[in-house]
Amino acid sequence: MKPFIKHCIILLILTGLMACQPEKSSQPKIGIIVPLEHTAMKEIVAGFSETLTNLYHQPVYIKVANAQSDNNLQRAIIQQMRDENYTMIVPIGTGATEMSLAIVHNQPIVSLAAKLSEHDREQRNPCNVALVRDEISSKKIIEFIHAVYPTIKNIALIHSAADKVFPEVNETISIGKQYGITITHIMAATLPELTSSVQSLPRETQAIFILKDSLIVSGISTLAKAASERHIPLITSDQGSVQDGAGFALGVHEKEIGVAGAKLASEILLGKPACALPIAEMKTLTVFINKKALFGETQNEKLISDAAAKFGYKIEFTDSTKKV
Amino acid sequence: MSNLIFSVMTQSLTFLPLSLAISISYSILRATDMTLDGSFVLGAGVFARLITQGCSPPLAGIIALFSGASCGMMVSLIQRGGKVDPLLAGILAYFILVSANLAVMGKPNINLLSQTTLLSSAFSISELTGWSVVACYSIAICIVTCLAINSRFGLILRGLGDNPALLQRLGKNIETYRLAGFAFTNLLSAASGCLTAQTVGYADIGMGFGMTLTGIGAIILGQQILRFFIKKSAPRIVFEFTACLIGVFIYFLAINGLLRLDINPVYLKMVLGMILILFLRTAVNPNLSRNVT
Amino acid sequence: MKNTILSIENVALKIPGVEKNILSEINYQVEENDFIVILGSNGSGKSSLLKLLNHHYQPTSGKILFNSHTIKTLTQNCHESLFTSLTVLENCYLYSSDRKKNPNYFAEYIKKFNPNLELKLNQKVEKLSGGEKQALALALCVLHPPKILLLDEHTSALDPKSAQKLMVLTQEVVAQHKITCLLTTHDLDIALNYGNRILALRNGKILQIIDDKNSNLNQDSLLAACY
Repeated sequence: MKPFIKHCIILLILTGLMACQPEKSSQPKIGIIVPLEHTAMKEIVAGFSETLTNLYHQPVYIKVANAQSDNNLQRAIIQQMRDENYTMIVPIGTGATEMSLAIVHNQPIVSLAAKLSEHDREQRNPCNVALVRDEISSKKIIEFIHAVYPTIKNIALIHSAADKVFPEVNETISIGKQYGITITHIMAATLPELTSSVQSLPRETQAIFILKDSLIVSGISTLAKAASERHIPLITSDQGSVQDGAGFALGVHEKEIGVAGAKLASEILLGKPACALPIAEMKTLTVFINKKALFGETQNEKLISDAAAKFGYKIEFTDSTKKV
Repeated sequence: MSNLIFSVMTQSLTFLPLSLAISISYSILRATDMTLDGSFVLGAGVFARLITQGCSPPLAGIIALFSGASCGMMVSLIQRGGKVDPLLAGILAYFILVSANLAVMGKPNINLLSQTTLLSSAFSISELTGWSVVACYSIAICIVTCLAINSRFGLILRGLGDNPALLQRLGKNIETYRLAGFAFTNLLSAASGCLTAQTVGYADIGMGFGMTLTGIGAIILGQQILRFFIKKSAPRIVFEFTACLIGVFIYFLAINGLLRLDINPVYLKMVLGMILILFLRTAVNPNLSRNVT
Repeated sequence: MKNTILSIENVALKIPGVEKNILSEINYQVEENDFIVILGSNGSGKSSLLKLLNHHYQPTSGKILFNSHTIKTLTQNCHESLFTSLTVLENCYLYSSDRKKNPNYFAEYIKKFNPNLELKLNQKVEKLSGGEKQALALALCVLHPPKILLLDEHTSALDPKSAQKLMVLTQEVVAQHKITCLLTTHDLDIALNYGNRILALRNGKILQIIDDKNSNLNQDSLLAACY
C-alpha cells in the first residue's frame, strides 16, 4: 500500500482514538493557560497549585498549558479545555483572559494578573469570572523612589509594546511630574531594540526604571550592565528581575498572585459562584534588594532599607545565586 | 469528535480569508508579502478602535477593510518600478505598520467583549448562530475572492505574477495592477483580522505575528496533498481555493488533535512539524515543480 | 512602388563594459512587406540590431527612422512571449483585447498554427512541446498583426523538422498579414530558402546585402558570415 495512504489511515485511527478517549476520573479538572514561557509564570503556577492542594483537600487534576505566544495555539488550548468540560479555567494575563471569556461561557474562569475591570465582569451574562489583579499603583512606586532618592530629577522608563504596560506608562509619567521628576519613556518592542535603546539613553538620566514587563525583564542583564557603567540605579517592579541583576524593586511576590488565585478557585470548587467573589488585589508590597547589583551600581543599600521601613514595606534580600 | 471538528472549523473559518490572501500573494502575484501580518492586526485594530469610539459595526468593518487595502497600496508603492525587492518591501512596510498599528489602536490591546460588533447579537442567541454568521461572512468573502480571481482582473494578476515584462509589452499598466493586487490581498487579511478580533474578544498588537508563515505552510501542505489526489489539472482558482481549505483545516486539525492527545504544547510544534514532514515526504512527487498547479 | 518603412542611417552601437563596437556603419533601408533575413554568426551583432529596432538599445551614433509602427519581437526563448503557468486559452485572452471572444474562436485561430493546440486549449503552456510553444507564441504575436515583426532566431531551439515547419508557417503568416519581417539566423539554408532579402553581418559590420535572391549569390561570402 502506498506509504501516503498508510499514513493517512494511521492518522485517521489516531483521530478516532482522540474522539474515543475515556473520560478521566471524576476529580475536578483545572486548566491553567500560560501565555508564554517565563519565570514569573512558573511562580504564579507554583503558588496556585501548592495553595489549592492545601485548601481543597480532595484530588484535583491540574493541567498547565503553555501557548508559547501563539494565538492560534492558545485558542486551541482554550477550546480543548472547554470541550473537555474542565471544571475551571485559569488564564494568566490579559490576552489569555480575554480569549477565554470569548470562548468559554459555562465554566468558571479565575483570571490571574489580567487588566480587567469590575465593569467588564458585570457585562458577562452569565457572569463566570473571578479576578486577581496584580497592578501596583504607579503612585506608590514613584513615591517610594522619591523617598529613596529625593534629589533625582530624571528617570528613563523603558517599556515594551505589551498591552498592560501602556496605561501604566502614562500614569507613571504624570505621577512623576507631581514629584518634580521628568520621566522619559523609551519603547523597545523587541530585544534587539532594547540594546540600542539602552545605548542611547539621555545623558542626564539618573535612574533606569522598568514596570512589570515580560519582554524588558528578559533583557534585564543588558539594563543592569548599562546601569552599572553609568553608576545609576536600576529599579524594577518584580522580584525575578532583581534576582537577575536589578538593584531593587518594589513589587509583589509572583507566587502571591497564584496563592490569591487558588483561594478564589477553592471557593468556587466548594460551590460559590465565581461572580460572587470579590476582586483580589495584591496589597502586600515587598522591597526586593540585590546587594551585589547595588554595589556594582555604586548605590547605598541603606537608603532603600530606610525608605522601606518608612512605608512599612517588607524587605527581602535576593541575589543572582538564589532563585525562587 | 464533533467538538474537535467544531473547534477546527471555527478556527479555520476566521483564518480562511487570510489564507486566500496569502495564496493569492504567494501563488498568483509570486510575492511573499510580509505586510499581511501587519494588515491582519490593522484590520482588527481599526475595527476595535472605531467600535469603542461608538462607530456603527458595519461602517467600522468597511473602514477596517479599506485600511487593509491601503497597506497593500503602500507596499506596492514601495516596490514601484522594481527599485525595492518585493520581500524587502514587505518587511519594511511591516516595520511601518508595527508603529502605525500602535498609533491607530492607542494601546496594545482593545477589549471587545462587552461591545456591540457585527457578531455580538448572533452570539448572544447561541454559539451555533454566532458561528453560522461567521461562516456566512467568511464564505461570502471567499466567493467574492473566487469571482475576482476568475475575472479578467484575476487573469491579469496571474499574468503579472507569471511574466510582468510581457504584460507590460501587451500594454497593461503593471504598476496599477500590482497596486490593485496587493490592495486586494491586504483587504482580505484585514477582513480576517476583523473577524478574528470579534470572535476572540479583543484586538491585540501581537495577534498577527507569524500568521503569514503559518498560512504559507498550510497552503503548501494543501497544494501538495491535493496534487497527490488530483492528477489532471483543475481550474486554477478551484485548485487554489480547495488547497487553502484543505491546508488550513489540516493545520488546525493537527493542533487541536495533538492537544487532545495530551501532547505537551511545548513539544506540540515539534511533533506537528515531524508529522507534516512525514506526510509531505510520502505525498509529494518531487518531479512536480514548486508552486505550479 | 514600395515605401521605406524603416531607415537605418550610419548607426553604431557601443555597450558599456564592452570594448569593441557591437555595431558600426550600419546603413540599411527596409521596404514595406519585406522579409529580410539577417545572417551572421554568434557575436556578429544581429540580435543587437534587432534590439535597436525594438528600442531595447539606443544607437550610440547615427539614427533609425521609422514611423510609430507597432513592432513585436519573438525570440528563441518563447517563455519571454508566453505566460507559461497559464493555459493556452488564458494566454489568448491576455493577448486579445476582446474578452468576449469565446474559446471556439481561439481554437479555430490557433489550429492554423499547430493542429495539436486546438485540443490543448485548457492545458498549461509549460506542458506544451517546444514546437507547440513557438507556434503558439507566433500565433499570439500576430493575433493583432504588427506592422513590423522581429524574429530573433526563433527556430534555433527546435529540432530541424519542427524548425522547418515553423519557418514555413512564419513565411505564410507574414505574407498573409502583409507584415514586414526581419529574422535573424546563423543558418545559411534559412537565408537561402526564406525571405526576399538577405543582410549578412560580420563583426558588427555589413558584410553583404542581397536585395534580389534571384540574382547570382556570392555564397562564399554568405558562408563567411555564418562562421
